[in-house]
Amino acid sequence: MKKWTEAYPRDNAIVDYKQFNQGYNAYKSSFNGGIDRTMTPSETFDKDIVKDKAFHYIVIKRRGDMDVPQTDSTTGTTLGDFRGLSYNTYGGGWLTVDEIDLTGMKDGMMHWEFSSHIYNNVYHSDDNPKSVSIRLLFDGLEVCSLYQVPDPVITFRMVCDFPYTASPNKATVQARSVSPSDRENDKCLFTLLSMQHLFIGRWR
Amino acid sequence: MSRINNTNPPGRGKELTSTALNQVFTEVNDAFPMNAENVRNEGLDQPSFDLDANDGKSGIILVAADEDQNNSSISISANTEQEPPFISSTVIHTWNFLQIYATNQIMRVYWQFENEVSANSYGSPIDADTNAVTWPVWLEWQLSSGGAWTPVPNQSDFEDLIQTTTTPGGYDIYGASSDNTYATTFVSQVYIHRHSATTDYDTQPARTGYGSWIYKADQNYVIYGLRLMCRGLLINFFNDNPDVGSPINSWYLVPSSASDAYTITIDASHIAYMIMEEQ
Repeated sequence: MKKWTEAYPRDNAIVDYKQFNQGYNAYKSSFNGGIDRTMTPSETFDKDIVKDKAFHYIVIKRRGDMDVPQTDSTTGTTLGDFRGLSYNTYGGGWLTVDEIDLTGMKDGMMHWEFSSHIYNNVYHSDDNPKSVSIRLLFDGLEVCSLYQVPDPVITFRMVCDFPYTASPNKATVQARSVSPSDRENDKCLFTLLSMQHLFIGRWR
Repeated sequence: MSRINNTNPPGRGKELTSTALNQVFTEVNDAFPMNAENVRNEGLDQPSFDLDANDGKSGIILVAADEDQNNSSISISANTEQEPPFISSTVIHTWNFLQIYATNQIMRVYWQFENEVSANSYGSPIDADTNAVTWPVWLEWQLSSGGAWTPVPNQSDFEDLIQTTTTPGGYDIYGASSDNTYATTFVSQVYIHRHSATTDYDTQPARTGYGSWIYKADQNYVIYGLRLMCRGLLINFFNDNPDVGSPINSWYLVPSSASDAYTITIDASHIAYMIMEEQ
C-alpha cells in the first residue's frame, strides 16, 4: 500500500545544510498533521460522511434541437421537411450549434457524453455527397470528433474522457455539412435533434 | 496539487536556529493544509471506503448497475391506420428487476440492438419529398409490480395528438415532438435520393442501433423493469401549429399501404443501467 514518504533523520545526520535540506525535502510530505493512508480506519467512508462534491459532480443538460443564427425560418411545415439550416443561408464550414457554461467542477478528469439525432438531407447526394461532422470542444480545445455521417437519420452518442481545470468551463458543440453544389434544394439541409449532455467531473 | 515554496532555507555556514527551522516547517504546513482536498487526495486509499464485498461499490459515486441480454428475434410491421386505433407498438425486450431510484440520483440507461428493415415497394406517403423515414425504438419503465409500462420522462410512445388541424391529408396528426424523443433510437427505413433524373429508394442494410437515456430523479422511484418498444413508420415535419407548446420539429406516425410491407426485424438486444449519486 502506498503511503507518504517518510524519513528518519538521526541525531548525527545533520552535519551541514545540504544534508539537512535533503533530509528535510524527503520529510516534507509527512508533515501533514499525521494524515496517512495507513492510519485511516478501514471501511469507514460511505456516502453519509462525505461532503457533496467530495469526489465528483454530474451535470445533465437537455438542449432541444440545433438552433443557429443561420437557421432558415422559411422552410418547413410540409411532410418530410424539418425546419433548420438550409443552403439559403449556409455556405459550408463549422457552426457552433450548442454552448454550455459549466460551474461547480474542480480540477480532475471529465467524462462527457453528447447524444442527439442527426437529420441529414441526402436527396442530392449523388451530385454532392452529404454528410454531417461534429466536434466537441472543452474550454476551446477539441476533445472528440465525429466525421462524415452519411445517413438521413441516425441516433448517435459521442463519449470522451480528458483532464481539465476547475470551473468555470465552456463546453461547445460544432457541426458542419458540405458546401453546396449547383444542384441542391432549399429544404432543411441538416439539424441535430434532442441534444443532451452528460458531464461527470471526477477529482479523485 | 500543493506546492511548497521555501523562502528562506538554511544556507551554507549559517547557524541552524529554531526560527529558521520553524519557518520552513510552517511553510510545509501552509502548503499541505489539513483540508478536504489533501485528505481526499493523500489520506484515503481503497481500504478506507466502505465497499460492498460482492461488487466493490461504495455508493459514493456508483449506487447500482446491471445489464440484460435478449437473444430472441421479432419482426414488426408498419402501421397502416390513418387514425386511432393504430397498430400497437411492439415490445422487443423486457427486463424485470427491482431497483430503488432516489430523488436527485442520476440514472443512465444504454441499449443496443441488431436490426434489419425490408419493403416490397415504396409508395405513398413515402415519396421524393420525405427524406427521413424511420422506425423509433424507445425506452419504457414499470414503476409498480405488474403495473403499467410508460415511456420514461422526456419520451413519447409516438401516439401523442400533436396537431388537430386538417393538414396534411385532412386528418389529425399523431406522433411526437422532438422534445419527447430523448430516449429514442431512430432507425432509417430508406435512403431517398435523386439518381439520373429519377428518385431512387434504397433500403437501409442490416445494422446495429444504439441509444441512451439520462435522467436526474425528480422524486423517489421504485423501478420494477425496463423495456424497449418499437413501431413505425415515422416521417419528419415541422409542426407549426402544435396542440401543446411552441412550434417544433416533430415526427408523424404515418399510415402505410399493407402492400408495401414495410417491416423491421430486431434480433439480439442488450440493456444496461447505472444509478449514480449526483455529487
